[in-house]
Amino acid sequence: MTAEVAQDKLGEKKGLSLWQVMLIVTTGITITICEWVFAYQNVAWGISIALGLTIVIYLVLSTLRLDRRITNCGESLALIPLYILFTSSLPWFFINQQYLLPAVYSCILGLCLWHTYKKGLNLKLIFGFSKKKLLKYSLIGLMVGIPSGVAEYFVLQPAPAFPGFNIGGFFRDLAYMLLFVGMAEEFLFRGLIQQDFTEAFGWKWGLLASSTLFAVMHLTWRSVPELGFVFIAGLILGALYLKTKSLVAPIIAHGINNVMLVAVLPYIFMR
Amino acid sequence: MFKLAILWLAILLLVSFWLTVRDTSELVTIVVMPQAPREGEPIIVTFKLNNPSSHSRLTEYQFYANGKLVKEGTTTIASNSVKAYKYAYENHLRMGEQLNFVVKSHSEWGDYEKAVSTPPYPPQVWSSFVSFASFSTSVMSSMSTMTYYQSTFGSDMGLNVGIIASIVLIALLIFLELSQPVVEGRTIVRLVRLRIRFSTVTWILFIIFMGLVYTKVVVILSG
Repeated sequence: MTAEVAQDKLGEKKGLSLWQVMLIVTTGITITICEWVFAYQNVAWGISIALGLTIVIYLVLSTLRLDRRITNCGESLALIPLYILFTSSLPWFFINQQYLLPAVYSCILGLCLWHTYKKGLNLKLIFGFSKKKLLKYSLIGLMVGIPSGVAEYFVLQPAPAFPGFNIGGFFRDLAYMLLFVGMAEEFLFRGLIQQDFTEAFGWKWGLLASSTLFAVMHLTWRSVPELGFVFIAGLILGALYLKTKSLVAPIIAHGINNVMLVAVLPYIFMR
Repeated sequence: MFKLAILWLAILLLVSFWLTVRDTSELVTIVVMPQAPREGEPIIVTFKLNNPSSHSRLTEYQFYANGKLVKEGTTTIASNSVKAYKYAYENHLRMGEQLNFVVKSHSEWGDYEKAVSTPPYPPQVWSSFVSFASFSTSVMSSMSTMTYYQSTFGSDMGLNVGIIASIVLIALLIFLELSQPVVEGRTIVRLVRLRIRFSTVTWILFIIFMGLVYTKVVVILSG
């Protein structure tokens, strides 16, 4: 692909220069390398790369004259190494494992909220909550989350958490998955990254970029089928966000998928 | 609204920590390592008998693995101290199976029982679609352990992330301090933008640094 074609496909229509587009592509590739090093090579090096990458991104965004949309993309991309840094560098072993999930995801939600606040973004617009459509979007999320949870169950076949189905455990997982995991991940990947990429490069590239990054961040699973599943799931969740302009359906779908995966299906198919 | 939400999330984090600390003041605690064992990997069970009272106490204990008594005894625990016992369990755990460990104690304070299952949560909760980055299965089972933290942030050999993070934090603090008088009263847009962005990294590194200091203090105090 020639430089001109690439420029045309990625940015010229939106008035972005090729070097700026390449800057974002390079950042995405570096994030992938960082995650790969973190998962497969050396955790310490992975964290160090994440730290270095954050510094470089901020240095570049602050010193170079960049298009506002590229700056926005760069800033939302910087949240990923910051997130890696945050979650992998705190002494989480001090916290009891049953409280770990809300504790960790509180940090991610805090980071995303801080980013939103500093950039003066409209939280209502990002989340797109609407009382009128809440039920409709929740049902859509439910209808997507249940089959995707079944599909992921057969990809991973996780072991049950308790010896038998536990109603307390079920509701705990439901709350964790909807209010923390689903909300934090959808906020970051769909609400911030996809939104900024869509504004800069159009909806197709926005959807592709956020889904690819979503899959890249699952490299630590070290499973190709799971990686493929996560990429497709990212596309579906991103499409839901595009279609509904609200995070309600993606959050519900994500949360229900996880609940099906860990709190329902392992007990139905228990060996 | 943003600040309030962030404050609530910070409170939630601290509550998790407080709940954990509250749990560890129990008379009996059990820690299973690794928390998400692989097939064939031995499981190290450490159970601690605590005596938070101001006088020494005679305690009888029994340790069960999957309902089978594997260790028992009687011990005297000094005031405000803890006695720890380690047990290596040969792991024949297969996918989908769970192990249960129970410690029963009897002392003048009465009977006490503590049970723990492994895996406490299926590893997939932390991996798959549920979460990403550092909280994925392959890494997660070790990520929330002290061994991981100490080897990454307090290592004498290889790369010590703790030192790197501290050096970067110092450098950023110096930069923020030195650039403060430069931007005062002037509009150097690039420098101002850099300061704003770097302040976020500085805060995160400061929190990480506090975690390092806290861990060091706990390690020193616990001998």
